Amino acid sequence: MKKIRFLYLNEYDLTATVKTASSEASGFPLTNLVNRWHTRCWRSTGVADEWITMDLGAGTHAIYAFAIKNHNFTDAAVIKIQGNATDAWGSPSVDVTMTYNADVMREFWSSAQNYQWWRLHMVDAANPASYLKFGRPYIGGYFSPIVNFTRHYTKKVVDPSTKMYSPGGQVSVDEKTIYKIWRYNFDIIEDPDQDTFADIFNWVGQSKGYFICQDADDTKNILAYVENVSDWEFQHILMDEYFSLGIDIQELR
Amino acid sequence: MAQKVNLLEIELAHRIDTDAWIQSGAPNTNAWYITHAEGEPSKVEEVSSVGIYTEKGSIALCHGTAKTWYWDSANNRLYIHTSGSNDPANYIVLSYFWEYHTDKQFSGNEEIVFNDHFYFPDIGGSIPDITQKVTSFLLGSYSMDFGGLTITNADGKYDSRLTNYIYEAKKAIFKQGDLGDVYGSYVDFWRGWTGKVALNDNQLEINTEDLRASVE
Repeated sequence: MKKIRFLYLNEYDLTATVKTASSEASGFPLTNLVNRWHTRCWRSTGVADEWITMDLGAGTHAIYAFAIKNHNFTDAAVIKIQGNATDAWGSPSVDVTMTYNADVMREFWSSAQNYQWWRLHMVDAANPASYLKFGRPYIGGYFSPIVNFTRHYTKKVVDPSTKMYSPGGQVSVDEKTIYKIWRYNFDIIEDPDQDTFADIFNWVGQSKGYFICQDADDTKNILAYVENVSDWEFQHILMDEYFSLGIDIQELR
Repeated sequence: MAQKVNLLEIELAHRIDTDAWIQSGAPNTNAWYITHAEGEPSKVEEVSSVGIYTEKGSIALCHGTAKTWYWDSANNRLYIHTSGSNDPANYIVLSYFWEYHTDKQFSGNEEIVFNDHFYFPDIGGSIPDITQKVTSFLLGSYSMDFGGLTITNADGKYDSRLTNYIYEAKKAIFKQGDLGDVYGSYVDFWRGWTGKVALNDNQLEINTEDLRASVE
């Protein structure tokens, strides 16, 4: 089991990152990808050879993770994440074919991939939609605490549907989408991690979406796109420089 | 049972005569163009006795007839040929386009996108009641009150849109359907006009009007 990973500082969203696409369908521009709604997608106009490049700018970029959420790729698609020092893609330094998942596709690296230029290359020639789309990318590092959350975490599956009953007891339902809420308790947070947890909350607060990977070894928990639903309260415990923290997060719909 | 989905469509107006118009090169010099970021207009109007322009299929056809417009989708350009065949800055010109809202969005292949239009998932609050009543003008006539609609504005998107676009007294359609329905299966729940509009940090309140109420 791997420790939980917080993918919160998304370099894709930074204004300094220059994004370019091979094509844009009318009404579905590349700028949609920075929108908080992951349902608001970028669309290509073709399916056979599409790409999005990301120029992260000069300087150090410790890239450990890349992900895309809400796509329409088929399982026959060849989706590659590529990284390079220059905007040249004949033989990039990073050239990884991503493993297919119907919702979120992701790639982790065990060492920092420090490249200015990144490209998502998409080939899905048999896609019945005749266009490719996705709604939210992530590129950046991730944070794992020294001590993982306790085993007594909770995952709540919520059905917000509205139910109304007739006098006879028959039910009518306004159905809504089921979603998940997680409660993670970190019983021991060592001092360096406390600063990073604080940084995460300072960055995302309750307003920004971010990704978590509960266990990178668990193929059923690829990645979740979430938001905080409460403030983070660090509780000082026992000795100096140790804290505990419980966080409540819910799946973004 | 599938999930119910509500759609709200509003035809907004945008004053465009104050934009930086460029005169087309010869031989189409009667046609002037701008980049129209809102996409293809639903109609173009010169605010005077001239009224609605006629849509044409090419720049040359637009050049050839006054009071016409042409949409160049490849370049996102709107061409118009004014009533006086000169610079649009001499007139008051409005372009119209539809804005699309829904109360739910979905991932994957269930997204609420119809006719290549993404529906903003920002209808807030509950759907207002409809009240129908017979008017005093004619026994067979009636009016329909639909109350007000709320659009969420926590991210401030409508602060700027209310500056750029006209929301008051515009066509509006409210539709209902089930998740998975094709667009044609959505039922028109209400058709009418927007009334007064109020904006605050959290929401845009759009009141509605049934213009038949005034025919008394």
